[in-house]
Amino acid sequence: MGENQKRILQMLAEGKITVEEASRLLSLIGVESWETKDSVKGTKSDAKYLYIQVKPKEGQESQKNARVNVRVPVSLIRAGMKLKALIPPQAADDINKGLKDKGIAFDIKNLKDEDVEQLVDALRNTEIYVNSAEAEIIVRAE
Amino acid sequence: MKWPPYIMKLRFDNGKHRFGFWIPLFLIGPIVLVFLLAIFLIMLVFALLEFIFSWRWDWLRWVVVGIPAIHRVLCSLSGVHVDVDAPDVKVYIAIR
Repeated sequence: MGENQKRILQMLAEGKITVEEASRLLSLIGVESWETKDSVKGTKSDAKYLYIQVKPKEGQESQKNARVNVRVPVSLIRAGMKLKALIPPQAADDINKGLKDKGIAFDIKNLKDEDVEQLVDALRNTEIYVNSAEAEIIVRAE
Repeated sequence: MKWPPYIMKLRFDNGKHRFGFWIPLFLIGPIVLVFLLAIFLIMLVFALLEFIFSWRWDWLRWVVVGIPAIHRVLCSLSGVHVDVDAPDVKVYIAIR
């Protein structure tokens, strides 16, 4: 039983909400949990590869830039995330400090598999497109 | 079960030197597997000794989590494709 369900039942037992309200809230939670499960399942089966493409633009200066085409299996990203358990505490602190210096308040030790799934899911639904003066950069997952 | 990649294609060209070859990973794979297994067993002994005498489990974590994780990463390499085409160097790597 989830934390929210317990809370709703406790509110019902205390008489703070009626049976109808509790039923409605429980059904809403049920729908949410099913939707979450479906989205995670969909991500695992749908997105197979992460594509990173760098296309230099035509021009004298941009001729120095490289054309890059990289394809990384999403399963490799997932497997790589398991290696985070091997990061020594001192190194994890250094990484967190580096992220904080860049304005990212994130604890690498709290990174979970679900976070990676959400990231991959977000990439599946989003195409990152950077159009600079020198090159076009595209990041997408399919 | 996810199987390890069986072949790696590599091409390199920097204007002066140019080569390309296929690395049969299906031949190297069993050697790597035996190597990983040997390391696993050796490290397990030292990790258990460390745990018994110092109650620290740094090495034990490496053995229990690290080596299977490295194996998973190796098995997930199938499908990696890198193609860099710069004016001075061209590199192509494909793992299947």
